Amino acid sequence: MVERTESGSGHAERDAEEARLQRVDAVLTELTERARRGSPLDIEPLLAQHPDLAADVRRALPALVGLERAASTAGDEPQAARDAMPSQIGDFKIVRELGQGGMGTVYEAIEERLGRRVALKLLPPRATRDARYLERFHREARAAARMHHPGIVTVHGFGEVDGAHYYSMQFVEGTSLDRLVAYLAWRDGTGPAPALEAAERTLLDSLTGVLCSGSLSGFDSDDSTKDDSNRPTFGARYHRNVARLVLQAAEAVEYAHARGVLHRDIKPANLLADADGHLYITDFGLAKTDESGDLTRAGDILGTLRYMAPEQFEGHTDARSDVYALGLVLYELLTLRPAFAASHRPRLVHDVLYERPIRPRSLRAEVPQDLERVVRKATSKLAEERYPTARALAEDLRCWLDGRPIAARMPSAWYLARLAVARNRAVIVTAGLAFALIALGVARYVTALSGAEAAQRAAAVRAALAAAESALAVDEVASARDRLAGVPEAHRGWAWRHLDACVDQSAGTLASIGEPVQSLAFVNGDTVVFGRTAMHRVRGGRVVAEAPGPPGAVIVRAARTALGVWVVSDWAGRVWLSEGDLPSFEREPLQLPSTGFGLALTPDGARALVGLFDATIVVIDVAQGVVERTLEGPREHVDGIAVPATGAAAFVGSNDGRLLRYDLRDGSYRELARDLGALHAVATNADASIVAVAGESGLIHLLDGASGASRGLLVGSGATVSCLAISPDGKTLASGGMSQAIRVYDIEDRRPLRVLTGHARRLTSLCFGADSSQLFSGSYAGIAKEWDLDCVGGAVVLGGHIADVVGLAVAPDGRRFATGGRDATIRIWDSASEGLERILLGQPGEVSGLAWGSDGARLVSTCRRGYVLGWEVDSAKSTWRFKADSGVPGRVAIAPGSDECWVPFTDGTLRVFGLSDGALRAELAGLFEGRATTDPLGAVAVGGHVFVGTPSGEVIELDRATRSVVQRAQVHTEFVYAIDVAPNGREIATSSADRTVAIMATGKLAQAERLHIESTEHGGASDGLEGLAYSPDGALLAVASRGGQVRLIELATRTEVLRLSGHRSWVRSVAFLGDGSRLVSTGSEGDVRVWDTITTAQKRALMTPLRSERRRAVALAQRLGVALDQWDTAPAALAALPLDAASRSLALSEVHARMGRRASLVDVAWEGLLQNDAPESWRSALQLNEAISRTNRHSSATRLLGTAASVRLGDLQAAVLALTLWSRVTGYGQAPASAGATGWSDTPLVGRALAARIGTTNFGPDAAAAEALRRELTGEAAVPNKDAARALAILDWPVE
Amino acid sequence: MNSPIETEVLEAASRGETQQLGALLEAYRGRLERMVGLRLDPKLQGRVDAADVLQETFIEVAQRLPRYLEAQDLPFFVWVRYLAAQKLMQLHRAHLGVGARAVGREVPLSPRLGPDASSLAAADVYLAHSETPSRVVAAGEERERVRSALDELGDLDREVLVLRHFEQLSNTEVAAVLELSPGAASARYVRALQRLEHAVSRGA
Repeated sequence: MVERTESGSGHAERDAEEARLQRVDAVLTELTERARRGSPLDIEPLLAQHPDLAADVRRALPALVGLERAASTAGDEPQAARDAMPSQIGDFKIVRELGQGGMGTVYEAIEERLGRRVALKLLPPRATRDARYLERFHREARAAARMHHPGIVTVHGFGEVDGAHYYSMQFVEGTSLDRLVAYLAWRDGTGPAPALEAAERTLLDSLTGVLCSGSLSGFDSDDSTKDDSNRPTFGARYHRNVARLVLQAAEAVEYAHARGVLHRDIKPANLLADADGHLYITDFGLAKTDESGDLTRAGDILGTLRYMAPEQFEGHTDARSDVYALGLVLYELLTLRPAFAASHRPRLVHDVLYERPIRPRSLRAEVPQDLERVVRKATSKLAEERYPTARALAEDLRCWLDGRPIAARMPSAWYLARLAVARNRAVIVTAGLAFALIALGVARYVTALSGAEAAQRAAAVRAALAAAESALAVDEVASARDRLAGVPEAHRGWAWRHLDACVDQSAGTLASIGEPVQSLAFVNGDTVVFGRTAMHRVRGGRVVAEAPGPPGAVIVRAARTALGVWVVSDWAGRVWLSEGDLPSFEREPLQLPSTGFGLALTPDGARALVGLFDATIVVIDVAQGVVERTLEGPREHVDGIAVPATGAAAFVGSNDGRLLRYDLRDGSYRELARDLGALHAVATNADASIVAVAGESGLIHLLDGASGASRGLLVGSGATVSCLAISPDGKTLASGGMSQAIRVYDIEDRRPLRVLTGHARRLTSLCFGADSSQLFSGSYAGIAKEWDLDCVGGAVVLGGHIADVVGLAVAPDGRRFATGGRDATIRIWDSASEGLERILLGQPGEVSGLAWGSDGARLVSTCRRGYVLGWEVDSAKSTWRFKADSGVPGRVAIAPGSDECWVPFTDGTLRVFGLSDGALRAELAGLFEGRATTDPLGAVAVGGHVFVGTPSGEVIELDRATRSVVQRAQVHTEFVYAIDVAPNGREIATSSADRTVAIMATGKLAQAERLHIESTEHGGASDGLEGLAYSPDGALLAVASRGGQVRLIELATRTEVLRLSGHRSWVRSVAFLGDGSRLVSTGSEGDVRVWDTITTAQKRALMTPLRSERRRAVALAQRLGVALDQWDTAPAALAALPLDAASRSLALSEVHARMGRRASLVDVAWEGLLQNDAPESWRSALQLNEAISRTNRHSSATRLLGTAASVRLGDLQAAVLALTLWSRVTGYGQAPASAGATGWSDTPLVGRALAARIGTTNFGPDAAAAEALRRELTGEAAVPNKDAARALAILDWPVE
Repeated sequence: MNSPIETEVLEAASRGETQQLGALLEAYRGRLERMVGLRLDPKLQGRVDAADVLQETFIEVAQRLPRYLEAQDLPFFVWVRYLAAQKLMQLHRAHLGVGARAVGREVPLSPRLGPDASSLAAADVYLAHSETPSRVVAAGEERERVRSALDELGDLDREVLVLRHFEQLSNTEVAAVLELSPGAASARYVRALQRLEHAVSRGA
């Protein structure tokens, strides 16, 4: 048990955010199902159950509803509806569908008994399950049945037959005004042609004639000349006639209002006009009768958005809302377009709430001024500015028609002022929420809105930061940027600044060209950016030259040699050859059989190779401008071609998943690799020793350029890779593609160097500058950026440790910091240059605690095997050591200015050592109850006090001078990992395995305030908090969580403001550097991460002076140290390099740090695993294998260990992959079985056992081989040794 | 991975009893036709019928079933859909030739996905076949809004949404089609919805 806790890494924890999003998904799935069933989406009870998901659900919901709607209109839903069209309902014979009303479908029908034509409104069957809906339907019918007015469609009756609810009403042989307006707009030439059936066309024609040339209701009887042209004229007569239409509507509405019925959904679609221009209001679907109670409830938003009065969004409706809608109908009839035309819902809601429609007269100058005033008065945003009643509107219209003065005047200043205020409300929120609500028909929306005020703003900020962080974690830069932009200035603290620095890590934007970047080329210090139709030469972030591409062509790719030969291809399969700084298109292009996606030139510029869509490669003689040869071989199209500097060969990657190597002298080819998934990019270094290929699979394969043998596999984000670039020095590989981030790898040690964020769309092209640290990139968004690989803002990973890093201490100068880990090294880093400064070797085991002496020259480390060591940093030498007989030493406490250090041991002893000589100055045994564990106990010293944690959760305060206990308190319930003291010295904070952080005044331990840190995983059992640190300004507390994240707590509010994710497993320690702009954390996978608030630009200004030649030399030596295959020869190889002494010594330390490590680690791992056969142990073995194999490719023992772990964990696929890779690397052949038989020189028995258990991909487990091996191992001739034991253990593993 | 009914049918099939298999495939037909409708190149809409594609797919299912039953490495529906997607790809290649690629996505997201649904043009045609003109007009605005917002999304986001809402796949099935972990597929989906909402509200 102890071993397991201590063994570190656990397996890569499932990303907590992902787990949460899965729960969001579950809620959304439930809502989708409800939508599909036609049930009401009553979201509030659901969200109340999952308050932590509410924000995400709400944000996703509008789109979900929109999609379901689009899907139901695009899919089989209408089919079903049509199939469901009844032919007979009771006494009614259905003739045809007239349309879809607010609450059901309307059919033309014959009431057979009476032989009359009726309109029959039928409730959709699925809605009848909803009692509320049904009730409303009946209420609608009852309300409508009480109206008897020539302007209101008469309701005959209602009923139910076979579960189908209906009501029948007067059939109006006419058209709705929305159809009329659409038709008139078309006739006017301002709108598209509507789909019309012949009968409707005839009716509309005749109505148009009446409106434009005739007169309605006998008002005008003069017989002016009829316009013969096809186009109707919308002159004075038309204006008078539409005024009469609206007058009729207003009178009908007034009639209803007088009877206590509001319509609430007046819109052109609900107003019918017959051929004579008589108007009928229909569909009292939203009528609210005073006597039946308010079933729809205040705040229930129904009706159609476009014609809804602003107050209806807040749930208030009165007669003036209907007046408003009538005004909009008049507006639309006058202008032939809706007052609010936006088709995007949130925009529309915004416009309705805050924007004044365009004045009718500025759309159509002929609209009479007074009529415009009527419209504007009726449609005021503020109800009190409108006509108080429909009667008043009707009266004013009558006045206008009679030529009398009207009551409407221009809007008051008061009105305009209120409108301006209203505009400044939280527009977006309102619009977004209203969108969702309306889409859902859900209540309580707007009420919820008004409650959300300043108190919730902080929560909104946190949500925005969390969203930005998780967006960045999946390379969604654009989304992160938007989230951050929404955070008000006042709330932009450390967390915001950090994320902001991560959003754009580029050294600058080169150009924004307005079309996708297709290719990039580096030309004499400038960058040439190719768009689809033009190219741009960029220098220092400014476009210095710009030229169009070939006329009519869409550029696909461009390539150039150092000597200045260009080849450019277009979609139509043409290729242009030219010379110079920019390509020219004067030469006649070559027409190739299909589009050229892969382009390459031989270094001498003599030949161009074009990989075609039709799966061939064309070799072009550049000088002659002719196709010299067509190469066959690929089976699918060719996207990637690379020609090394030698110019003799070409590497071709095709979508068929194969990498081919062509001999350019005779056109012959060899298949170097296959089954790599569709390949989109190929890159090679100068001597063609390494070829990198990548594509659809998202994996980058490094292959030997001669044999095709695997030289490594780089795993990126998993997103498709579409471009690769290798630096001029051949050491660095950059990749980009569907992911928005650029991933940069060290080719030699197969290590990820950087993940660079900045682009907000997928990457299309990459190229290096002259300097191998200068990278350029282009994206689909048309943005080209420059990157400095030596200097990246926001967040960097410092590589070096190969296993679990627990020890972390910041030097008194605030600039250097030390890390120590399971790999038994201590590394000293310079945070300013982000470089490794020194390696301290000679640690007798895993480092668990570290502290600096106040002078910055000494360091004290503790080691799990019971040691405490004193170090001189400058000489990298250990000056003293202490070994305890029992107990494991924890963290080290050194008070500022003090010459002694305090170390708690897990056996309950606290020891005090002299800093310079290691003298044991005090030993307080039995201070607390000991426990057998290897976790480090927390300790900190401040002023005259020392605070230590205990395994049982106590915190003890001691007096430094008297070495006596001042007070102790049971602060936690479990192991106390870390203690830190606030910058003001008056407060300390502790973190514990009980998953809480406690904050307490230094004198009052018993009054600790405990903060529970919400677990990031389900259950969260292992989610202890191992590290803790105050920010120098005292505003934040950073907490290292085993959940894999650094949690930032804002102390003022005691709330979490940000989770920094990036560590793939447990976070062990955390510390702020210097001024607090940087935060360091260490993880159980050997990763040291620096999180900062410094943008790349700021960092460049700071770091440029530090980037001396020495720094480069150090980096080179470091890489060399890692890359050398033969550790024994490394010192000699280093000696031969032109390095200064410091660089050489650092590189040597690196080599020594890694030498001799592998065998012992692997052995320890094996023995431990066979004794303690637990999944956690095997997972850590897998990680160990990964860590070691990154640095030492020849260790077959570690490969086997990893394979065994995969088998043991039931992941046979991973095991097969590991075996295959291993056998490729070692050249022992492809099949694991044969590798087992012939290779595995280190441990053939283990290899054979594994091969028998896994078998090959084709043949499955090999029972016969297993049995044979078992007999061999247990027979008389068997030699019992550790390999035989391992092999037997493997054979005995139960089948999963 | 498979539902109890599917498991039962498949188990019976591996015993040689394939009677229920036809019924199971018929139950898939609606969703598969929708997939074909969404992904068939508009140029082929008049020439190729979804029913033809499914007919061929089901023949393929029968032929390959023994191997699937052995491996069962995908949910059954996802596997059938995958075969249909392959058929569709073959059709595109046969009818449209290499030019098919020039109008589509440069890089297919997953071999299991089938031709992309990046433009909902296919959906429009589908719509036109199945609706009355008045419904088309009424639905047009809504559809156009969603469509233009969808077009603004990344390919993967769009496909996740199309698969979930238009093809009505479950998250597990989406994950299998796009070769993502269910967790990653979920995260994608939620984020894509939010981005879509964002695109809709911003695009106004």
